[in-house]
Parts: sequence; C-alpha cells; structure tokens
Amino acid sequence: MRRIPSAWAVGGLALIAAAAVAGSMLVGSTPFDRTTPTILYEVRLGRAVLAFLAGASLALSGTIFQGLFRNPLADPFVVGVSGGAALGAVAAIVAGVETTVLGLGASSAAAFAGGLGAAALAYRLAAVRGRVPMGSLLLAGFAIGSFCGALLSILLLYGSPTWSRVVAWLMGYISDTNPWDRVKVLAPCLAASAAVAVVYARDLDLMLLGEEPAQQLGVEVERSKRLLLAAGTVAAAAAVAACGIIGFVGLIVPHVLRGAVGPRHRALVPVTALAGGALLTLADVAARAVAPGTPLPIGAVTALLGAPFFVALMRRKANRV
Amino acid sequence: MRRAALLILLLGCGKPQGPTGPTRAIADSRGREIRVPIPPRRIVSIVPSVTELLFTVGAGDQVAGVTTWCDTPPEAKKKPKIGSIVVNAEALAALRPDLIVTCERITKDTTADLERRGYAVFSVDPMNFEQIAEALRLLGDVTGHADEGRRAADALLARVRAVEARVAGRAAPLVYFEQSVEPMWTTGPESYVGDAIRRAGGRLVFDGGWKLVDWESVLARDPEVILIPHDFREGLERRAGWKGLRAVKAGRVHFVAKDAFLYPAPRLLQGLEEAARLLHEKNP
Repeated sequence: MRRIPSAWAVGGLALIAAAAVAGSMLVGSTPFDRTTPTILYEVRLGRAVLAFLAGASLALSGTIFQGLFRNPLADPFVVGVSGGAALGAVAAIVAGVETTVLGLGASSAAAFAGGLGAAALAYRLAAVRGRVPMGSLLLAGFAIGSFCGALLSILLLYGSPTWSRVVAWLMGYISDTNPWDRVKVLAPCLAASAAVAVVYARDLDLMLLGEEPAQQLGVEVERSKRLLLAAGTVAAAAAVAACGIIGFVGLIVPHVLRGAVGPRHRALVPVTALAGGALLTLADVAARAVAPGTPLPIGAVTALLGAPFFVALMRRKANRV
Repeated sequence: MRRAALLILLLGCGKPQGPTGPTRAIADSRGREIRVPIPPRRIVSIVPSVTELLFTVGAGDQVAGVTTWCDTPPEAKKKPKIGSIVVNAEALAALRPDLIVTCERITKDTTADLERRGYAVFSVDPMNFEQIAEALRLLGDVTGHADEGRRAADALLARVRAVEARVAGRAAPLVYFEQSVEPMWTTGPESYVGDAIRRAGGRLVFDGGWKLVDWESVLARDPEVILIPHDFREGLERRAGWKGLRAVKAGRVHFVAKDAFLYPAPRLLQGLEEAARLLHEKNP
C-alpha cells in the first residue's frame, strides 16, 4: 500500500471528523426545522462530541496496545478492561446503586473503576521480579477477563432484570441524555493518554524491535511499558465508562492505518485517534439516519459496518502477496 | 432393594407423564388447543403476573411451583421455586406439574422447550384491562374456579369503570412514562401500562406499545407529566434540557410504585388509580 504523508492524513481526517460532527447535528429524530437550541447543542452536538471522543480513545488505546504487544490483533480490551468494566457496571446496575460521581452515574463510575482494577490486577499477576513479560500480561488479562465474565453471568442470572440497561451497556450505547457530563470526564482522560502516547511514541517504535534491543537503544523498557499500559488502559476504561463496550474501532482503526501511514507512532497516534473518532461519529450518524428516535447499540453498528470492510481489506492484502 | 430404588429414580427422571386423569381441550392465547386436566392439581406458573392471576381466581392451592420473582400475593412466596428467568428443568420435573401456565410473549423460547419435553403449557397474554379480565375468566375456567374467575373479572372491570367515570370529560395531559433509562424504555397506548394511563385520563406522548426511544424524542414532545417507576432517579436534573420541560416547570414529575406498572395482572389497578390521582387531582 502506498504510504500517505502523515500531515495530509491528519489534515484530511480532521476535516472528515469535523464534517461528521457537523453532519451529526443535522440528523436526529426531530425534523431539523423543528429542533430547538437545546436539542441542537445540548443533545446532538454533545452526542457527536461524545462519539468522537469515545472513538478516539478506543483507537488510541488499540494503537498503544498493538504496539506494546507487537501484535496487530491486540485491542483496547486485551488486559481485561472490558471484563472488569462490564462487571463493575452491571454490579452497580443490578445493585441499584444511585450515586453520581463527577456527573457520571454509578454504573459509569463503577465501570471505570472495574476496568482500571482489572488491568492493574493483570499487571500485578504478570509481574515477575520487577519485570512484566508481555506474554504473561496477555494471559493474565485473558484470565481476568474470563473470570469477570463468569461473575457477570451469575449476576445477570440472579440479579434483578434491568435487561435493556444491561444489554445496551454491554453492546455500547452513545447516550444523548446528558452527553456533556460524559464528555467532561472522557476528554481529560483522552488528553492525558494521548500526551503519554505522543511523548513515548519513539519508545513504542523501538519496542517493536523487541524489549532487549529497545533497552540497548536507551529505552527504560519497564518504565515506558508501565506508563503506556496505564495510558492505554485509562483511555479504554474512560471510553467504556462513557459509552459501554464498543468493539472493533480499537482493533480495526490502528490496524488499517498502520498500513496507510506507516508504523511510526508519532504519526500513527494522532492519525488513529482522529480516524477512530471520525469513524464512531459517522457510525452514530448512520445509526440515527437509519432508525431515527430508536437508540441502536452502537457496538453492533460499528461491527456491522466494519467487519465487511475489514474482510475486504484483508483479502486485497492476501491477493497481493 | 437398592437396585429397585435406582430404577424408580431413573424412571422418575424420564419424560414427564402426560395427565393421567380426564382432560379437555381449551384454546389459549396462542389459539392453540391445550389438553388441560380436569381439574389441574399441580400447576406451575413461570411468570409473576400469571401467578397473581392464578391466586386471584382462587387456584392458589393448586399452584405447585412459581418463580423467584413471584411475590404477589404474599402466599406465592412460600411456594417451591422452579428458577428465576431460566427455568431449572430438574426443579420443575421434581414438582411433576400437570399444567404449566405462562405468558407466551415473555417466555417464547422456554415454552417451546417445555412443550418439546412433553409438558402441557397454557398461555395467557393480556394487553389491556379487558384482556386481564378475560384471562381471569379463562384461568378460573381452566382451574375449576369458573365462578370465582368471573367474579374477579367483574370486580376488576368495575374498578376500571369507576376510575374512567371520575376522569371523564377532563382535559388529558400529555404523559411520558419512563419505564427504564439508558436507553429509555417507554410505552405508547398499546400496552397494558399504556392502557392504564389512557384510562386514567392521560395522553401518551409516544404511539404504539413498548419501545426504546432517545432523549431527543422526549424533549421534542415536551410532556406535561412525567411518570417514573424506575430506581435510577439521580441525575434527572442533569439531563439536557430537563429544566425547560413543561412537566418539570409545573412540578409534575412523579415517582410511582414500580410494581403497580409492571404486570398485566390485578396489581395494575393500583397503577391506574395512582395515575388518575396524579393526572387529575388538583394537589397530588
């Protein structure tokens, strides 16, 4: 695939993202001429910005994890974030906990805590004498994810059935009820994670060579790993807390763009974040255009649109070899 | 001796025996002719509203098992449990039911499975007060309490008419009923809850039956009264545009008893009467 210069890619994607957000304001259950400023700015703009930030966070997280694990199939949820977050959120929903933390409902706050907790636990379990082998981390993350999944099933069976809420949460749902509250929590998390990813972009590049060569080239491997893992985890957990579990964006966007702009993370990080944001905003617009007034599980929409695209790309690549 | 006991145990685990005594065919809500024992003596209800209907017609003593969600009337809580959302096949078999009663709409997969295993499954599926009354008459007939079923049905409809008479001729406010949040589950007039609100003298802002809606649709319809039965009440005032809604400005956001608006059963009368009071009394 011919490489696209990263400045062009950033510019182009920023334009697409802005267009998606603007387009998002035109589409909704109310005919445009009957919208009120509340609907336009507090609901539609908020929802578009929320979708953009969630998509950007997931794509950024996926980029970091794919780099760290040197595995193009890693996604934001490899270290157990989704399992821990789902368990936290559903536990809060089933228990009927009703506090608000920083403007987020209890389920979102519990999801954030659960996601971070699961990843931290995976990290601790994988650590051997101050080092964290990535293979062990992957396995620990998988184990914790499965364990959380099991607890989740038990909760769902025996807890009170608030099904629509649980299902929407597990399939990803971009709420238009109080989107700006969610934006206020998600934006700083994304900003912090993106800052870490940009500052440590070179370390990520070098770690693609392997941890030992990176060490020899002056990277403090364990420290960088820790920071980058934290950044990827915070971005993923924040996205999940704000919008539930949205799959595919965090896997496909970094994967595809690595082919388009090359593997260097200084370019890849901003490009994937913008593309992830634009993709999720467009998916949200598409969902609203198809089924106005009915909230569709956005995770299903991204997979529905993304999977065929992904397969087409894969086959094109395979044909060329 | 032990071998014989084992044999009996194994036989006991086989296919459920069909009713041994006399049966008759009665059409259920699916239009299917179900062979019902005369009378059924070991009834299992797998839906809370059905449990309430069975007890209302005086068939409580014939109820052999219920779900963990069946809490009305209080006597139902003492019955053996056959599971919650998922029917525990072993617990069900141990009760040797001669009739399973359900509401097909909410147990479709379970019902198909139970029928494959040879159980007689009878469904009632009321969507408004007339149909709840009809279900009472039908279940009274099925369980051998035809008179009690008819009396319960008449009493139910009499209370409905009384409410209707009270609110007759009054202006019907626009009502948004929020069953659940994130996403919003609501109903139009074509569900049993919608029926209760309509008869209580309210006009629902959405049409149709149960549905998922987004918040924008609620804002655009600007309801005059909001009824909230769910527990997720915190953060309401943080919702976009909340303070500008007519219902909020008029102080007409009401938290109502969840149980009164959840089941197509006599309990719905409480919902109807509460809604009528909230919609039409001067200072609720």
